[in-house]
Amino acid sequence: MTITGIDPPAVEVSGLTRVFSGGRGKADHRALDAFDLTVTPGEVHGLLGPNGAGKTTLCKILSTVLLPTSGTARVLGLDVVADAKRVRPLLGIVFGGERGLYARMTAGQNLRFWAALYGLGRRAGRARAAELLDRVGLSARADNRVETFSRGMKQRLHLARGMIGDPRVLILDEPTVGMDPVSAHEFRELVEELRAEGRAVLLTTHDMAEAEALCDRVSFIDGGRLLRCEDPRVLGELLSRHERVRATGVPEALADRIAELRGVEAVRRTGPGAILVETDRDGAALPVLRMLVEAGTTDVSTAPPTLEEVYMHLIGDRGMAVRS
Amino acid sequence: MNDAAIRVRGLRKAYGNVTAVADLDLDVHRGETLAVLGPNGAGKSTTVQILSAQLPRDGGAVAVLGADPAKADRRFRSRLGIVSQTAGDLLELTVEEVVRHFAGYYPRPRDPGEVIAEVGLAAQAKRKLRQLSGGQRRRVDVALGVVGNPELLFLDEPTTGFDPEARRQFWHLIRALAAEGTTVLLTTHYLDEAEALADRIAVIADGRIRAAGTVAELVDDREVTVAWEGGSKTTDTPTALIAELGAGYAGEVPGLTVTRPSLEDAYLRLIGQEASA
Ligand SMILES: Nc1ncnc2c1ncn2[C@@H]1O[C@H](COP(=O)(O)OP(=O)(O)OP(=O)(O)O)[C@@H](O)[C@H]1O
Ligand SMILES: Nc1ncnc2c1ncn2[C@@H]1O[C@H](COP(=O)(O)OP(=O)(O)OP(=O)(O)O)[C@@H](O)[C@H]1O
Ligand SMILES: [Mg+2]
Ligand SMILES: [Mg+2]
Repeated sequence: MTITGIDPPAVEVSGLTRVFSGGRGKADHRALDAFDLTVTPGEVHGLLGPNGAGKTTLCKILSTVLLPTSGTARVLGLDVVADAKRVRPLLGIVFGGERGLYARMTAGQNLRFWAALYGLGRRAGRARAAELLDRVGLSARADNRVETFSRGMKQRLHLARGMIGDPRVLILDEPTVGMDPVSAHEFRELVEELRAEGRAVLLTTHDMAEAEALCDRVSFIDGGRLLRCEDPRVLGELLSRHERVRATGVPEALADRIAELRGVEAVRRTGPGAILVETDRDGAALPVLRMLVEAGTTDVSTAPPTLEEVYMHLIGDRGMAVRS
Repeated sequence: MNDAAIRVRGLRKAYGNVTAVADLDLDVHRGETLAVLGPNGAGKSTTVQILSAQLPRDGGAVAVLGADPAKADRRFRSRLGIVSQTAGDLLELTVEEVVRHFAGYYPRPRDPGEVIAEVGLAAQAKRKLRQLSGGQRRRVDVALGVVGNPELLFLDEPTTGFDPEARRQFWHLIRALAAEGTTVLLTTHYLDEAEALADRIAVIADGRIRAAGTVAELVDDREVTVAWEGGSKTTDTPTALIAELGAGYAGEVPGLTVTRPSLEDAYLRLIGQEASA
């Protein structure tokens, strides 16, 4: 597509900075600070970080609805500021929440309206809307007004809207907020399909299990800065290279006995009755498991560190406080 | 029946030809935390809105703190705290202004500054709501729900948009309130949240209660599933199976897990969607 014949990345962000003015003598706020990111076609890329980290700010700049203060952002080689008009049709955008849908129109009307905006003809728009409503489980409610939808139903419609223009690049900002567990799982299948079709997905989520299940790579962002960009499977090694055992319903005395076993490095309490056993050599996990199961503990797993643990490790233990 | 904070019998609510709540029975004891689970459109928010005196009902008997919410007066309302699913829009006010303003509605409010700190917004107290991120705004909603020091707290998906640390801190906050005797009615789609907070869980689908009870009552845990890379087996003698596997693999069994049926399994069974995996 480009002169060199190499396809441009789906998303390429370099030195991206956005400063919000504080107003009336208050300090300015740097929501994005020299942020870098590359997402390739066919990649599902997770954007993870605490409330106020700058995730939505980045998604908005990529969606051409917010201007950067400095730095560049490109979608399939096109600059989101200079080429905004050509970028928009390439993108599918899903923001969590209530905005962006026409409350007085039905679900079907909303989708047909957006299909027309993306240049689909009447017949094609109808077919596409029907197909997508089916895909998000809203066919039976197609002719109900959006204002009568529950929160999760609206979120499903958001998702359908994001896909209407057959986009090469999807920006999904907390797409599963408010979805029930079954639809959140169906969402995972949907993202797998999008990836298989060679589309690129930038996904922000606070659900670490969701990110772990879906993402080829994740970028951790905090205070507008990139902390780390990695394959989630590699990230676990940051914390531990040996097997660990997790269990719940473990009495104190049993935990003490486990701590005595050979190859057990540490037994950590992770909650009421819950422990995490770290080992420091191969093969040490099995005796731990045997002891737990023999004692009647039935909720046990050996597992590499979860993405949630990696998150806590990287973002640090600052409690609930939001960085100012 | 003085220990009932909420007692509902045969509650009904329809919007036009859509039945949102159909013949729903529910009890919440004083001091209890009850979590309501259910699919999108099951009727959770409708129920919460009726019980918290925000929406009239079509039929059924309802007593909330001994009174009928349909006849709620200001004094009754001041005993409730509400975190709705749809957020308010006082976007031009600062965090501090909004929380102070709401505290003014209640006879014995908690200290607004303390509440702001508890939801992790101390550094943002002087910012306008418009300038907050999505998760920060949701934290304001939670602050408004608890600032009145309510006897009964309604939380409709309170932690949507919360980052993982904020969610854990929120759990601490709610546990502390529950320990002081606050009754909590919580809806959530996060099953771990329900397990972490609730004394009892009610599962609702199509406007009806499918089951209610403690996690232990809802989850059938006789059979244990042992899974490893390459297979899985459901058994009531997991020790023997693990020993066998360990011998077969000569030590480390890759990806070994031993799990009792989870709340998720029970949830899927109750709403009529058995896990396909
Ligand atoms: N219009 C605005 N004016 C001033 N500050 C803003 C504005 N919008 C966002 N901010 C600030 O910029 C920072 C980044 O916000 P952003 O919405 O990008 O965070 P986020 O990572 O999406 O957080 P969340 O997980 O809560 O959605 C926050 O500190 C926020 O308060
Ligand atoms: N104002 C309204 N007008 C018409 N129908 C409505 C209205 N509010 C809700 N409904 C319908 O009532 C049913 C129950 O909605 P409710 O919001 O109580 O569900 P919910 O269990 O809270 O779902 P969610 O998990 O998505 O929040 C749904 O079918 C919904 O479409
Ligand atoms: Mg955001
Ligand atoms: Mg709801």
